[in-house]
Amino acid sequence: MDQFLLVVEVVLRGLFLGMLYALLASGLSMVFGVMRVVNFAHGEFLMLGGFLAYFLWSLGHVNPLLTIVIVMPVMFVAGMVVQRLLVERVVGKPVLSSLLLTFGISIVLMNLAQYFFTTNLRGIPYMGEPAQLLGASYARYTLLSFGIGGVLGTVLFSFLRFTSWGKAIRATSQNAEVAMACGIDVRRVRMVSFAVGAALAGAAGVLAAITSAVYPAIGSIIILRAFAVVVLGGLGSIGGALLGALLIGVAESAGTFYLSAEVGQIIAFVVLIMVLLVRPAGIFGARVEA
Amino acid sequence: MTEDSAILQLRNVTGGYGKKQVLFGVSLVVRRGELVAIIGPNGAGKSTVFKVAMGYLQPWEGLVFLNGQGVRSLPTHERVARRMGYVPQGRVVFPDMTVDEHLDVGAWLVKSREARRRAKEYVFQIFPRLAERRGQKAGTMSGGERQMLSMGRALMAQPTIILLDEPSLGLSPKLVDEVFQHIETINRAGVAVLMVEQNAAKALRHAHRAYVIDMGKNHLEGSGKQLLDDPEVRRSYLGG
Ligand SMILES: Nc1ncnc2c1ncn2[C@@H]1O[C@H](COP(=O)(O)OP(=O)(O)O)[C@@H](O)[C@H]1O
Ligand SMILES: [Mg+2]
Repeated sequence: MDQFLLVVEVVLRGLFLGMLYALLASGLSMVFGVMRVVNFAHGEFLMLGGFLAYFLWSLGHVNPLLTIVIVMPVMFVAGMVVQRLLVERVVGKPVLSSLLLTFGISIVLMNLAQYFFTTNLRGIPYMGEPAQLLGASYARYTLLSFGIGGVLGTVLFSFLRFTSWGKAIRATSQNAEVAMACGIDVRRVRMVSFAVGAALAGAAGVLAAITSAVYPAIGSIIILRAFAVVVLGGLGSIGGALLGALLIGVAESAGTFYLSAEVGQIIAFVVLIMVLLVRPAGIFGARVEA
Repeated sequence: MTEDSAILQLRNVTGGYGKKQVLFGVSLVVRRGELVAIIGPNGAGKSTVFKVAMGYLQPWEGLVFLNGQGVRSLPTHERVARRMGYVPQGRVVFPDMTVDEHLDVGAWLVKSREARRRAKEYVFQIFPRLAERRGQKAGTMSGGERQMLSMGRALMAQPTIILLDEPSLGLSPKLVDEVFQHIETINRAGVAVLMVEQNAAKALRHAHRAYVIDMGKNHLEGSGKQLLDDPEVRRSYLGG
């Protein structure tokens, strides 16, 4: 029985961890699906969202949870601007151009953050009291962040599945030429997809600031996990990204618990390699699905 | 400038891909309510003509008019907003989207919910088979069904002209007849049709007028019947 509860705890911790990856990876995957651009700067949107939440809370005395209501629209607009001014230029260009561009944006944002915010860790102490769940005790913020992630994931899924903008995004990723023949302005679709991805990454940043801490390099570290998740789930597949994220989260949690923290750090990539050996296209296809 | 009744007009269009020239001067006109066919050998540049007409490809020289207005550099989605419909070659669909979702996306420009509902009803009336498969993903449908889905999707935006690129290619003889019936139905409802067809004899029999395009140039034109009786057309394009 104890053994069983322990497994439950390891899985739950994995799911909690995976939710953060899911928020990041779903946006990354959507952007890739719609414009075939791998966005190396996606993690920096998480970092900026986290810092914005931290300063809204520490300087503006905004309730940590409410910061998400400010961070997401701000990151949405920031995403629109970055897409229109920079990323749009490399759509349809050789993959090296887009890699260099987004990698460059990533480095610039990270260094600006270091310059203005220093390399200090900034965490928001909030809902730290423990709560019992299925025989183990978790900080309340862990459960809270899982809940918020779940709500956002559900909203994204419904957006893609049921709204006309969501359908336009999926159509564009499956066949941009036919989407144009439907009267869709695919440039606007690319801008909106990128902005939605940035907003989700910003939300992940808020959750990171509440559940642990943010610092300038957090984006470049966590993005590697998100890449593993995206490739695992199938480039462009949102459903795949969500599943892949939870799978990686659980694998990481199990690796840390049963083996060692170091193993936990690399387990995402081990799982990735194993899955790709069996299914080279990832768990799902290579289009924006929901 | 152009005739009043002309919906689409191309005048001396040249163009190609990168440095490779494909079109060496193509002119054509489609008037309100007409059914016009383009025939010609493989690789003659027929699909390229459509890409220029739709704005996927910029012509190097020449003019494109839509309802009498020059649209040389108008983006594709704005041409669609001006009631041009396009069904690309190869029955291209969104493989992971259902029939219903296709029609929803096709109605992207139709803002009123009521108008969208009516458009869908109309499409289901023309293609009852689609109504039976509303929830099916396009990627799992047969070639004939995908062709009908493509046409239905294009009709959702209520075009005044629709460009069909090889609508009967690769279909069984029975389905070919069915597709031509559908094209007649659409045309009789008042939609001008410009179609490229490999199935030249059938296309000429259905078309009011037709163009023969060869090596990126206008070669012949006339009524469907004239071309059908033309010895050269019979020899070179109808296989005897
Ligand atoms: N995307 C493209 N890039 C380069 N060449 C192309 C492209 N599409 C078509 N072509 C070339 O242009 C010529 C005309 O093609 P197309 O317009 O498709 O002919 P048709 O539809 O009459 O069979 C062919 O030689 C073809 O190889
Ligand atoms: Mg062709």
